[in-house]
Amino acid sequence: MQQSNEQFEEETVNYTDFDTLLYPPQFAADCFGLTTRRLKDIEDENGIEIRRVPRGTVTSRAYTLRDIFDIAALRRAKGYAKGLPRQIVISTFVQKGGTGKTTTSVNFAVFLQLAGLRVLCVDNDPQGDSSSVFGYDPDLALSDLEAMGIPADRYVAGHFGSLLSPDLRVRCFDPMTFEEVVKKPFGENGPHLIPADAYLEDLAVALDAENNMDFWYAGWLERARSGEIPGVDISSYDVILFDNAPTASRLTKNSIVASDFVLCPVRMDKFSFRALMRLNDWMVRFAKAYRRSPGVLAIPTMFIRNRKRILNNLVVLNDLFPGRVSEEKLYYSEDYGKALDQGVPLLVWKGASSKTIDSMRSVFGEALKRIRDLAAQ
Amino acid sequence: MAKSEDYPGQKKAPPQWVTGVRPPTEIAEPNLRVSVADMLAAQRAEQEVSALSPGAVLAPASANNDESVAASDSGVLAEVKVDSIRVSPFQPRLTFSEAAIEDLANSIASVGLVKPLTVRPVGDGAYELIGGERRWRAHKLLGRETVTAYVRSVTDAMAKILALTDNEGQEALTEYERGRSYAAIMRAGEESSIRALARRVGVNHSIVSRCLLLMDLPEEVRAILDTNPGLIGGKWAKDFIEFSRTEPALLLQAVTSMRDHQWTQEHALRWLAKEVASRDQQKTPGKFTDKEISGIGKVRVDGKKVEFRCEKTVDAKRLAEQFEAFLKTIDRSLITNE
Repeated sequence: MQQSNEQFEEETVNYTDFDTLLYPPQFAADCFGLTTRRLKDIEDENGIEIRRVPRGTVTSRAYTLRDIFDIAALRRAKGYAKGLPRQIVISTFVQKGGTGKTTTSVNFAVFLQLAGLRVLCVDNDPQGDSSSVFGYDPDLALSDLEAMGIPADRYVAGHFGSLLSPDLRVRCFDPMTFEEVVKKPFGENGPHLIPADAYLEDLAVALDAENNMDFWYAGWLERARSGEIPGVDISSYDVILFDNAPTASRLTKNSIVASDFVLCPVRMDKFSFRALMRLNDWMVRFAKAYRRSPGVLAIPTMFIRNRKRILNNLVVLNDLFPGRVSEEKLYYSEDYGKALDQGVPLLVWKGASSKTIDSMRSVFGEALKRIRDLAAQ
Repeated sequence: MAKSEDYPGQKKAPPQWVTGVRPPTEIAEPNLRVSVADMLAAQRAEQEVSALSPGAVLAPASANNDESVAASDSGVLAEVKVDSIRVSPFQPRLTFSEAAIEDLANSIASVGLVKPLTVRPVGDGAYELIGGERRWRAHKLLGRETVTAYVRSVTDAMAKILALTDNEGQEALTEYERGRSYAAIMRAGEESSIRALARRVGVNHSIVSRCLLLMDLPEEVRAILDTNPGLIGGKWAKDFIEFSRTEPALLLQAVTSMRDHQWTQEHALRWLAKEVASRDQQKTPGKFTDKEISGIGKVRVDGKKVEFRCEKTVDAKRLAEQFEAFLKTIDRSLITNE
């Protein structure tokens, strides 16, 4: 294990080619909560060929990420995994930086996709961090990619604003089709991504000049869902997941207005709590005006076990926000930083300790359960 | 006595709060029964309504239109949307005091609108103010959605006149009249403090206390004011009250003259000051004028000093000896003040 990691690090100087990452059967089985035996049966039943790599004197199956996501799609098609009764829009937001919004968004997208749901992740942060975690560095021009030996499909050409552009009064960017903008880092069956670059910032300016400036994302999604926009059909996605910047910008408000569910990663500190209360106040006002309020789940992040102060603050958070704090937490771990350095989402980084991955899976499992309940409402 | 809980080693309960984070007053329950599509439809409808306000050519049959039709010459009382009202082009008032409108808003917030606005329909569910711009502004300040108004359909010419009469029709109460009413409210215990009362009636509390001060005037003076409430007021009121404490009789005389001879307040105050001064002069005669005692000299009193200037023939030393002897025999009761 240790050795393979070192090899892996050498290869990834400029970018991570997801297709070259190989996973052992146990890891693939854990992604679905199956035994390796059952996973093998599924492959045999459906005639899936998994490559074999030499391991000692025998060969063993080695999965690529594409294989794993293909199996997830297959499980969905065969009815082993449930979809959602209707499309759900999720926003990740809390008005405080560094609480784990991007980590949560990206990994939740991966988690949902592995659970058999079809996910469109929209990077709604002009910083483009979640795009970057998926392997699309928004700061690189085409020439940079070429010079660094990165494939040209990693180029970020457009963003969510490019999709809204045809309807905007202020045209800051060239309109692009959905197919031109969307990225598929792990292939067709992996989560899809609308990336972001720094120009997304201008979308806020363009929206400010419009009527109903907070309702544009909702309007676009509604039309794109019902097939009113030529060349776009987002109705096949089960989940649209927005990753937001830590500011309550026009872009953020748009995504929350459009959302059915808001994920709030919070650290156990005063600033996070205040940010949460601020979001709550905004939602109460929104609920008064439109009689609609999305579900909310606060996820304690960077949690440290057995720290009195942190445990006590968790009690306070539960008091402040009863029934809206996840039971399980994301624990503080070096793994997050390492996965980032490796350019792989933590949930599919085989170097991560099982503790870190397990707690993330159980937090996200809890969130998915809430989302299923909400979708059935 | 309870034992102290604060000693070293005592286990303290962890705090149940985080400083600077107040609990939310309300938490929005997840509710997705209103779909995004419904919400957007509501948004669009709202936008269309606002697009139809003044200037729009379209005039669809709507509830608003029926309302305008129902408006008669004499006016009907209706709850009108604050947003649908625009100001009158005939408004005679040129300035609006922010502070006064805030006071008015306070009053409306606490006791409601006493006098409805007057508006006229201008079509498409919009209205134009005829009278009550201050009240309308106060409603806007309060963020009220609707306001009670008389809806009257009148011509431009009539609107112009009505706009003026709305402002002319009412004569401001005099300070004494207001003071009387304020005092009555306070006496009945309906308001606990001047500030509370000021908020209720929508004026600055300094005005309330100034008006209330007039109630300190003597009863006879108040009897005159009951029939002529405008006699005392404004910045002079304080001086009258000052006199009422020291010179009630003179004040009564002055106020009577104000009523009978149309003295102005300034005149009355000047007269009072003069009267008081001259009487004080009579009481304490000023400097003792020189008195000549022929053949001996002149006596002069200056404050506490008694000066005697001798004639040439008189020996001052011997006079002083004589004077000393005389002083010893003097009847002290005659020269002491008490």
